[in-house]
Amino acid sequence: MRRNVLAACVLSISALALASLATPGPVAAVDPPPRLQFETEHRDDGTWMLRATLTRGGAVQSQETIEFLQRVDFFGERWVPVGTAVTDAAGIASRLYSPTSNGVQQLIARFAASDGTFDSDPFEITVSRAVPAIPQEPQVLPVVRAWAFPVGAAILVLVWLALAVIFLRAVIGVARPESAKATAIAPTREGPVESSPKQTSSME
Amino acid sequence: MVATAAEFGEGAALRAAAFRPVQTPGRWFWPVFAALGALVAVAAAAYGYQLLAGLWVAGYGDAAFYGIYEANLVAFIGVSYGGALVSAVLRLTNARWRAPITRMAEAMALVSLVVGGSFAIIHLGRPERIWQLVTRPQAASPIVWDVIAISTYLAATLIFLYLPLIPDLAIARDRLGPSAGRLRRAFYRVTAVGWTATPAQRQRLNWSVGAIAILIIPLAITVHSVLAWAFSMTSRPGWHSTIFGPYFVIGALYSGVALVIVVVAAFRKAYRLEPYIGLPHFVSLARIMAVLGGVYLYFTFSEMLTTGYVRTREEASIVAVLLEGSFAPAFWGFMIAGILIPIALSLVPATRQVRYLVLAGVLAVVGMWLKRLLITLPTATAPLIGDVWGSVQFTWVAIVITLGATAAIPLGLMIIFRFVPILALDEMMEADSRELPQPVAEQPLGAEGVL
Amino acid sequence: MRYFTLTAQSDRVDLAELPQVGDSAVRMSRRQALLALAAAGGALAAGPLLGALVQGSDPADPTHQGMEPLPPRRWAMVIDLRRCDGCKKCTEACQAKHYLPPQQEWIKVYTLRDRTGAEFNMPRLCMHCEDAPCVRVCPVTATFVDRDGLVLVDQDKCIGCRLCMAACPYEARYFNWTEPKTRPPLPTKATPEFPSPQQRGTVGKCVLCVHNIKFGQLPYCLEACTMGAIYIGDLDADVATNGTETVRLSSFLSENNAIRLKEELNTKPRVWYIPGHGEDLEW
Repeated sequence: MRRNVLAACVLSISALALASLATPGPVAAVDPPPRLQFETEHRDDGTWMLRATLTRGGAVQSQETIEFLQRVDFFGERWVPVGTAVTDAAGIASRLYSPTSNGVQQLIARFAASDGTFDSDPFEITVSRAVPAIPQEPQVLPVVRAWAFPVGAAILVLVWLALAVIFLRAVIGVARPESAKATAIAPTREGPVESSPKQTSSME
Repeated sequence: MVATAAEFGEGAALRAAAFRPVQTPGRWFWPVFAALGALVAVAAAAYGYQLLAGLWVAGYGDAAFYGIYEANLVAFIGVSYGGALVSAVLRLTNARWRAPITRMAEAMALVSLVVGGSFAIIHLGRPERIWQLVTRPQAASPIVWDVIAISTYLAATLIFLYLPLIPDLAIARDRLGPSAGRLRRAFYRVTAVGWTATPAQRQRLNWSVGAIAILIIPLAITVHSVLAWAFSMTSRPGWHSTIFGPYFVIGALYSGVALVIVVVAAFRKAYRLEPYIGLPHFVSLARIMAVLGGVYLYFTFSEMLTTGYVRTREEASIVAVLLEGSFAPAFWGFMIAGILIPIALSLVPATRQVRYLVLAGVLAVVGMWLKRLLITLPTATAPLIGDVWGSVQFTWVAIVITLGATAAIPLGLMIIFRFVPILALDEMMEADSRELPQPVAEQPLGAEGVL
Repeated sequence: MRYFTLTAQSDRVDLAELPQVGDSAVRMSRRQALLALAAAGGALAAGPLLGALVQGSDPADPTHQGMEPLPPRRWAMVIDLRRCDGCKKCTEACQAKHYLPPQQEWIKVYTLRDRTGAEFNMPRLCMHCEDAPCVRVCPVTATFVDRDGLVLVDQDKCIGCRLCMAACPYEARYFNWTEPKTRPPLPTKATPEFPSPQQRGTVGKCVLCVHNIKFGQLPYCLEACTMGAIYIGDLDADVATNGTETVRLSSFLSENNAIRLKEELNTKPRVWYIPGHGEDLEW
C-alpha cells in the first residue's frame, strides 16, 4: 500500500512537473502579454485624438507609459515619435496628434514593458488638413519685388532713347544739306594750319 | 586773365598749337610710346599667364577673395569722372575757363573708363563666358547693373566726346590740306559730317551738347553708385554701409579732378601748350579738388565714427584694423598724404605754383588708389566665423597688370591726340568771340605763370 | 556591381550573348574566334569605364543616372554640438567622396571659444538658405535653387566673379583658384548635383549631397559622423534622423533650444544647431 502511495506521489509530482513544463511560462509568476488596442478620433479642427487601451490578460493596466509613433518613409522605414501618454484608470492613454503633412499615415502605439516592447497593430488615418509644424516664412517686400524690374527697365529704355535722340539729332542736323548751305556768321579763318616752328616760337 | 585766342595772336597760332600732336609731336613721342606700349604688352602677357594658370597667380585665395583687381576696377573707373566734371558740370555752370582743357579731360575720361572696365573682365575666373551676361542675366544682380550702367555711360561719354569734336574735325578737314594722307582726310571728312559752322548747324549741335551734358551727370552718378553697391549690397562688415553710393561718387570726382590736373600738366609740357593753359586753370582745378577732398574726408569720418562708436563685433574688427591694426600705416598715410596734403597744397598761397599743384594731384590719385585697396582688402580678409584672418599677397602678375593699366591711359591719350586736336579749338574761339566772365587768378599769364 | 552590363538602353549586351569559343552551335573560324576574344576583352575593359559612366542600377553611384528621384522634400539639417568632438571625419568623407582639393572644406569644422572660455567644435556647411543672398547676386544665374529648395552651382555657367562669395554670410563658398588636382578616377560628366571634377575659375560649395538624398541615400558627412551629431530632416514631414535615431524635428528643435547662425540676417537658413560644447560625447 505504501508503495502505491509513493508511486502516486511520484506520478503526480512528475505530472505536475510535466504540466508545468508544458504550459508556456510560469503559471504563478508570468503575466500574459499586454495587448494594445489602438483607435483614433478625427476632430473638427483637423487634429486627431489617439487612444490606446492597454490590457494584460483582460485586466486594464493603468499608470503605464504608452508611446505613439508614426511611420515615415525617410531614408528607409522609420518610426517617428508623436508623443507619449500615461494610461488612466481605464487603461486608456490619450494623445492629441496634429498631423503636419497630408496623405495616408500609419500610426502605432508602443508599450515598453519590462518583458519587452509591444506594439499595437498599425492604424491608418488619412490626413487632409495638415498644419505644418515649421511653416515656410513669407517673402520679404513682395510689392517692391514686383515693381522693381518694370520700373528699372522703363527708366533704362528712356535713357537709351534720350541718348539716341541726342546723338541723331545733332549728327543729322549737321549733315543735312539745308542747314549746311546757310551763310556762316563766324569770320572766315585765314590760312591753312601750319606746323612751321617759326609760328609757335613767338609764343614761347 | 583767361587765355583767349585774341590775346595770343591770330587763330593760326591756336590751331598750330592744337594740331601739334597731330602733326609734329616731337622727338620724345616715339620713345615714350614704345616704353608705354612695352609695359602694356608685358601686362597683356601676364594676363595670358593668369588665364592659363588661374587666379591664384594674382595673389588671391579663399580668405582673400577680392583684392587688387577689384580696387583697380573702382579706381580706374573713378578717375574717369574728372572728365565728366570738367566737361559737363563746368559747362553747365558756364565756367568758360575750362575751354582749353575740356578736350584732354573728355579724352582722359574715355580712356580711363575703357581701361577700368577691362578690370571687370580681368578679375573673372572664367572671362570667356561673359557673353552669358547677355543671354542669361539676372536683373537683381549688382554686376548686371554694373554692366548696363558702364556701357550706357560709355556710350554717353563717346557722344559727349564726339559732338563738340565735330567743329574741330571740320577745321582739320579744311586745314590739314595735302599733307595729310588720303585715309586721314577721308576720316576727317566723314566724322565732320559736313560741318560748315552755319547758325542752323550750331544751334542743333549746341542743343545736343547741352542735353548730353545734363544727361551725363546722373549717368555718372549712377555708374559709380552701382559699382559701390556691388560691395554694399552684401552683408559683409565694412562694405554693408549706406554711405557707399555717395562715398564712391565723391571719391571718383576727387581722384578724377586730380588726374585731370596731372594729365593736363603733362600734355601741356609735352606739346608746349603753356600759352593757353596757365596757372589759373590749375588753381581753379585744385580748388575744386580740395573741396571734393574735404567732402571725402567728411564721408570717411562719418563711416569710421558710426561703425566705431557702435562697435558691433564684426564692424569693430574692420575699424580696429584700419585705425590701429595692420592696415593702420596705409590708412593714416592715405589720410595725410592723400587728402590733407593735397588740400593744403591746393589752398595755401605759398604753394600756388603749377609744380606743387601737380604734386597735389599725383598724391591724390595714388592716395585714392590706396584707399580703394583699403576698402577692399580688410573686409575680404576678415573672418565671418572664428577669428582667422586671410593674408594678402601682391604678386608680380597683379603688379604688372596694374602698371600696364596705368601706362595704358597716357598711351591711349597719345594715340587719340594723333588724330584729334588737343585743344577744343571751336570752343575756345567761340568763347573768345563773346563776352566772358573771368576766372579768379592773381598772376597774369606771362613768364611767371608758365611752368 | 554588374560591370559587364551597359546602359539600360536598347543596346544591352550580355557577355553570355557573345559567341563562346567552345560553343558547338556556332561554327567559327580562327579569325572569328580572335574577334570574339577581342570583343570580350573590349567589353571587359570598357565595362567598368562605361559602367561607371552610365550605371543606373547601383545606388552607390553618385550620378544616379537613369534613376527616378524621390518626390521633393523641404530639407533641413541639425547639428548637435553636444556630440561633436571635432574629429573632422565629416570633412574627410565629403572631400574624398566629392574629389575636392584639400583647401575646399564644404563642411568645415571650426574650433571656437565661447564667452566662458570653453572650446567647442562647430561644423559649418552650406545653409541652403530659403532666401539665399548668393542666389540673388549671381549675374548669370549660375547659382540657382533646385526643385528640392537646395542652392546649387552650375559650374558650366559660372563666370567666376565671386560676388556670391562676398554675399554669403557663412563663408560657405569656395573658389577654384587653380586647376584642381584631385579628380574622380573615371571620367564623369560634372553636374550641378555632383560637380566633380571641379572646374578652374568657378565656385564650389556643399550640395547637401543632393545626389544622394534625392535617391534615398544619406549625405556622406552624416554617414561618416561616428557621434551621430549630424541629422537630416524634412521640415514638411517634421522628421529628422542621424541614420540611427529618428526624431520629430519640431519638438527636437524646440526641446533642445536649437538656433540658426546669424538669424538676424534673415537668410532663413536650413541648418539648425543644438548649442553645446561636446558634453554628450558618450553616445
